[in-house]
Amino acid sequence: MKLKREKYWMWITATLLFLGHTAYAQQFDIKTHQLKNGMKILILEDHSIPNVALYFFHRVGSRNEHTGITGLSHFFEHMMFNGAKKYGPGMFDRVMEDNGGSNNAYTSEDLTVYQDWFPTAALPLIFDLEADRTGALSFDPKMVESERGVVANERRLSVENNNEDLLREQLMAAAFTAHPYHWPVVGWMVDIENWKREDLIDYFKTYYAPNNCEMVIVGDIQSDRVIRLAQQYLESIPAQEPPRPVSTREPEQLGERRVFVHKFAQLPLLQVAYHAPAAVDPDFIPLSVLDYILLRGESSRLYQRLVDKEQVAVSVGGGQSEHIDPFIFEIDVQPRSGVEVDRVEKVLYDELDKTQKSLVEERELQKAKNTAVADFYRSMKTINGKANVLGVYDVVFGDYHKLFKEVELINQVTREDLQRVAQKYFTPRNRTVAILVPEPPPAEGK
Amino acid sequence: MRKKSRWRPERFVLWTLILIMPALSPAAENAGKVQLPQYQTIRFDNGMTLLLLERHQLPLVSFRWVLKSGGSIGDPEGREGLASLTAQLLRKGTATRTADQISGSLDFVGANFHSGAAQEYAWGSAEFLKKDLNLAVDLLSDMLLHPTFPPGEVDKLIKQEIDSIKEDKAVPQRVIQYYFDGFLFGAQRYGRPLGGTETSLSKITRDEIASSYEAQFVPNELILAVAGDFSTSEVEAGLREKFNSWKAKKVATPVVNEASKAQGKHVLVVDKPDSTQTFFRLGNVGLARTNPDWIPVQVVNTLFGGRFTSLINTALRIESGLTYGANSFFSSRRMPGSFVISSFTPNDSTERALNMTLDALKDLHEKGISQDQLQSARNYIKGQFGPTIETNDQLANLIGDLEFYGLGPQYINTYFEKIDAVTLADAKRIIETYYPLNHLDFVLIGKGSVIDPVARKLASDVKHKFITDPGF
Repeated sequence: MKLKREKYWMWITATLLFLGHTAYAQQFDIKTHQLKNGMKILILEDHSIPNVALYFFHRVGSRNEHTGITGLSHFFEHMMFNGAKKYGPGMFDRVMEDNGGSNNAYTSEDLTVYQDWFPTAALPLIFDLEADRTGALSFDPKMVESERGVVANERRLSVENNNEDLLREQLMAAAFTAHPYHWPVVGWMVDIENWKREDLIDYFKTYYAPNNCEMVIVGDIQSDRVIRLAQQYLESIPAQEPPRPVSTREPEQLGERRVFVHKFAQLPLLQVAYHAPAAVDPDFIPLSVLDYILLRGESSRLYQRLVDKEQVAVSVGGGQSEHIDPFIFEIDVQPRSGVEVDRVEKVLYDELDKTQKSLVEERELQKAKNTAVADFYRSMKTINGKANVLGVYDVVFGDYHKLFKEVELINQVTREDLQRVAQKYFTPRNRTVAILVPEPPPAEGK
Repeated sequence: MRKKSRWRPERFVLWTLILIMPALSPAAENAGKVQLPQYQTIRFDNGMTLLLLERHQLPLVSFRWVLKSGGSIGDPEGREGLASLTAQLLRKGTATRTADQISGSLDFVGANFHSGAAQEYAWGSAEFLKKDLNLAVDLLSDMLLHPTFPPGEVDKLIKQEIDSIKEDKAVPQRVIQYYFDGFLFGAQRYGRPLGGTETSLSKITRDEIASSYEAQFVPNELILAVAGDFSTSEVEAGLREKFNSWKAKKVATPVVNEASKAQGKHVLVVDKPDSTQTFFRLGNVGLARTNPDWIPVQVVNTLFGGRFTSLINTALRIESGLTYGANSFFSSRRMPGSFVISSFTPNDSTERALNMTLDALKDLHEKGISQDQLQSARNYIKGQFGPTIETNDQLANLIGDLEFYGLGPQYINTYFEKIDAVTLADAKRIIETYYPLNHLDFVLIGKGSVIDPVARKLASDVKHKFITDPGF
């Protein structure tokens, strides 16, 4: 999943190396509550603007799917807006917007997250809307078909007509052979066209149960009132048997994998993925620091080498992102015109080798730590940012308290740690390489 | 380099980005009233304008500068992209710092810095931690006052920019507005691609960039807005020390004449033969940002194409599933910019989607809007307003914009009243004036063999380009 890096460095005492002697303490008075049906609630009052951010984190994403229903989690995200018992098709959005609110949602490999943004006065109404769809969603066959078209179009937009994402889909499919991270979140087109209404009903019952969901609310609210409203509107939704855990583990990769996509384009693309640890793995932190050193800012190693000095690339990006199961460390390069991809790869691997062969400079490590501090504050700039990061920490990292320990953990990272994780993960046999090979436009009439 | 955003399935684009709304004061929104936080306006003797807005929630400070003479509309013909290159190169070397030293200093303290050109101004944004304020003032003033445009850096950036255009042309959504503005405004200033073209960029020399800097970068055209956790007196003193000796100079700002609206229907087809979708935009010349109609236009546009349940998104997405999203917007310019309806659809539904869009326009004219819809749009705009002024960067941008357009803080302080004052009669007039039915320019990017027959049904005037042809 792609949450911006800014969103996940958080801690409560961001001091230490950074400010030297004085401890800066940022207090977050987070209240938690658990409904009788198992839904956990995190509440943070913040009265800086007269608005509320309300997020629902459902523990379901493409990792919970199987062959034949790939993309169903994401499709479900769409169906949640298509009518329930009290508020029929289209009403959820209409009523919300009529009352000054807006909403969105996203699906990742691990999660499906629903987001409502609204003026404080609309709070009870939003609970009513959410309770209706979470408790009594309808599966109108007409809506299922119309939404199938929308999702197919979304796939056309974001994969078929976007070379970067088309290539990335192949990269992931090659990097993961056993684990469900193999298939794209949006799903394969043939599955989008073929899943059945019954698949949706089963999915809803299992994964949209209150005990599989966590609510996070931040903004101009009173905690007591939120809990009362949650009890009133959400508590009667019955709990279900917990879903079967995802037990598949990706076997160790035993050699480099390479995939090619031939497509009309003016420039090639290069994407490189190394298997990387899960968010809860102790190696996740040092690899994140390495991510800063390699990829963050124009002084970063890969930008300096590939874009600035050797000038073999227009841009370089990627990095590590937090996932429930072991994921990838990704490096995406847009090569310059006239530069062979081979050459770009050689320079890239040479630069990664350096992190294995020698220790990074003390100043680079300090730079990464300073950036992490600044990013922490950036993640706290909005009520949306706060709601998102609290939920991600609680659900993906397993406990929102961990975000308050993050600064300590980052500051404990040593240059030796970085060398160790570089040696462990950036190896040729742990690598998958995807290359987009430009070809001329297809002949007309094909 | 910054991280590229990776595909993340989202239900729809964030509509608030399209509304181009001004913003209101946090915590001051009650009973339908807003109050912009107090800020100081200071004019140095050399004409430079400083806007200082103190707020102390987080230890961060945001900077935003707007150079009124630095827009791409000033680019000489055949040198499109000059203003954009000039602004981007500020960080690539000064009299006392190399590009690497600048990047190193910014990154070491976790700061952000970006600069570029828009059509009507050059701009820069930066964010620093409070403790690095002195460094911020030092670096920003150095980049604005003493850039050296090293030949190696100029050459590198030009090559990167040309390749970026080639890269972007693989993703129609990234380039379609350039084609649309070019088609609608032709050779007029708003029709020029602000980042240049594959051919214009390759002609630009280091000397032209240095001359452009000398001519355009003057204090009397510069607005610098600062918002965040600082002390006004200290920051004022620090900036005065750096900028006060900068000499004022008269600048010949380019004159933009009000573009006449397109008459009849005209289509540009951009052939991208591998495309499985048609990306389309249609519209005409809209209205100036300072036109008093801007606010009622925002109200009407909220209903027509400015939010998820808008008329066109309901028709094209919610009810028919023909697209993932459809919206409309008015570009914010000092003179009338473009009015655009935008969407995309699979190849074989191109004609249906376009007809549906035209039907939605017709519906808007025939049925108008109801009192309930009007109230809904008011609620929506006001309800979504808070989060648009939540952060220092949003506030710095806003007060910079208010100064640039000459609107002033009063514009915000009466914003909700103006929204509430929009009547059904206003809405009717707005629809008749700004939502053309028969006079429309279309740009369609996609598979030519599929689009062309559709284009010929739309208009007798159909022009063609191929996606890899240089320019837009």
